Amino acid sequence: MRRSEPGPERPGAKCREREGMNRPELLSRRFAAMIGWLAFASLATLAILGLWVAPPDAVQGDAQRLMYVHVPAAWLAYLAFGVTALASALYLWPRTRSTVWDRVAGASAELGVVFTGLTLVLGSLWGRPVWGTWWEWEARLVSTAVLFFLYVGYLALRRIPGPARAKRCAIAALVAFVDVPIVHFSVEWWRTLHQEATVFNPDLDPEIHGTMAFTLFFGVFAFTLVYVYLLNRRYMLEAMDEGREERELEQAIAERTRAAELVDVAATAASPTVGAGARAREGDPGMRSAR
Amino acid sequence: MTDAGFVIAGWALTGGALGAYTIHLAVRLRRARRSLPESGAAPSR
Amino acid sequence: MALIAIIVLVVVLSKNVVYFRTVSEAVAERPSDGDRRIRLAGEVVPGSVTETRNGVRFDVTDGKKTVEVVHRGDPPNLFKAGAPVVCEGRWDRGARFDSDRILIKHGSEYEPPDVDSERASAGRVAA
Repeated sequence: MRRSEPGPERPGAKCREREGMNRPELLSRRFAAMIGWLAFASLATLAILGLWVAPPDAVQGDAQRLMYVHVPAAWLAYLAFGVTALASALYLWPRTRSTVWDRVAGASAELGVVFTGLTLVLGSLWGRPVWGTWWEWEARLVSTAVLFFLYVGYLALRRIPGPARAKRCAIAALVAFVDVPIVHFSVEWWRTLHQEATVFNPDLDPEIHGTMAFTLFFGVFAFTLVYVYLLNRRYMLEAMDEGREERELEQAIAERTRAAELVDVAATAASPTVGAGARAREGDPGMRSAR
Repeated sequence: MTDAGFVIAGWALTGGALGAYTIHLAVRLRRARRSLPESGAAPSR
Repeated sequence: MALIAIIVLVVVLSKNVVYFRTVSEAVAERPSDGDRRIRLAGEVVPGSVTETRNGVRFDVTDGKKTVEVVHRGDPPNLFKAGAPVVCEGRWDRGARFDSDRILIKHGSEYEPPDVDSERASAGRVAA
């Protein structure tokens, strides 16, 4: 469609495109690259800390080293879904409504699903040697699986187009977030095989020894960097895909308009205004206003 | 499988999953970028 | 839809999933349970573990009541005296509990071995 656009209008069209893209990325390119490398380096450091430096647990031995990835993954899932909920609320509130929030919500939810999936699999791998089971139908595990499927559903909902798509998704995100506190407090509210919270327990008194605690918090730090880096990437993709969809729509409209005009031209071929039809086909400003 | 086996599997899976997702995003981003000029977002002057 | 799913989940979990019973609860509910399959949670009484031909036999306690458990099969790696366990199985005709599945319900504390040995011996008795 752009190709058929008249020459003089081109700069303006480009400007409009920029506005339509409306913040194509969250972080500057340089900062994002820095976060990316930092994330990579801290994951490598975490592996050294978690696999070598931290002592084995008194009860669980080496199997406890899975905690340094399982717990950060779970917390980042909470955080990601929290960001999705916040961004959705900001989208729903008329004064802050912006496509930016819709994209942040979508991007963060996908990351949350990745982290939740990771949490479930890592938990299973930790549960087998320590509890003696891969999976139990108990409250913490089931509510976490529900969390996973709720947000898979949310992501599916995002793909269904419609005039109120973003609004509908924002409401769904807020509803789905209800499961996050349920997951967290499941170990307090119900009897579970899963242990209670070590750090965010009701007394807020972390029950974890020095080096192990440091490694755990470092893990959360490393995973947060990974999250920030990937959120920016996923956001960029969301913005680009949106731009592409818009362009495709415009293209389709342009094609239809042109087809209609060709019919027009054919209809007026015999009339004295042939010149006007030919001009429209060349794609001069007249065509745009006709649309 | 020994405890160490589960631990290695879990950590490898973590790295693998995050790495795979990062690459997946990179591929999709590159594809999305490539489709930009075709649809005329960056028209040749 | 999602809201309904969550409500259903909460109701089902709160009604249905009493994931385990403490030893006292299990003993009290024994007449009504009959030979239904239940989960029994408590600590393995130190000194009570003996190996049998096809498993182990031990006492499990919640501090108030103690029950003898006969388990068929290999107990999990972390099974030992003092370990918090969940035994799955049913009451036999006597006062024993026949278990064919043992899970470890470990705590939420993490510490290196040396710290544990000082504290745990004191702490476990209190617990």
